[in-house]
Amino acid sequence: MPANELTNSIRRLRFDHGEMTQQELARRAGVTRQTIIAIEAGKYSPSLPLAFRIARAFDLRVDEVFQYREPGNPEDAG
Amino acid sequence: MLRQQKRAWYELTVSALAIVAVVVLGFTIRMPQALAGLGILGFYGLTPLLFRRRPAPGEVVVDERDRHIAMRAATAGFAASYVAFVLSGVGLWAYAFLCRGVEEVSVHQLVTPVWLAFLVFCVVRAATMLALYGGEVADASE
Repeated sequence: MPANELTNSIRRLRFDHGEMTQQELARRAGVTRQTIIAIEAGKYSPSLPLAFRIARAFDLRVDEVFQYREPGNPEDAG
Repeated sequence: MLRQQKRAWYELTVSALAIVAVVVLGFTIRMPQALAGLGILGFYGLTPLLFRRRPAPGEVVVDERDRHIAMRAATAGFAASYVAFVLSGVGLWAYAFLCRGVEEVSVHQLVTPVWLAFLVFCVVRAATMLALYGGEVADASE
């Protein structure tokens, strides 16, 4: 699955949660800051467990953080 | 720069130095003695010592993305080294038997495919790692 089929709202959510830093999110999710940077930039699609950990860091559901866009259907985002 | 990227750059530098050493020695003391330059590859062994760092409490040093990149880089390195090993082995035979008409090869030449495969593995693995950290799209599901 190409990584760009999966989009996310991490950047916006970080700012909505008291301007949480990438470092703080990385600490809560148990990954390095570089991985958070890569996910935010759409260069890396996380595993399902990591997606859940990131969503939990924001107290949200996974589908509120990550959106899957069906190939060939660019309007489908969720 | 991540520790893994520093390691990759170190391994590429060691590989480049080894190649340069073999070429320079090839012009001065000739083959097969020049293959002694490949001894520089022994500096790979220092990699874990040079880039060892005690993580701070709670600090994550390696995560799933790092492991994913390391696995893909190792796979690329193995594939390239396999091809290099087979081609150099067949090439050595072809050179000895088809070109020179002899049925024996020197022990100095016999180890060349092994050295070449090792060198190719290290170079391709390090280069792939740098490319993947550098921005190529990666996916945990692959």
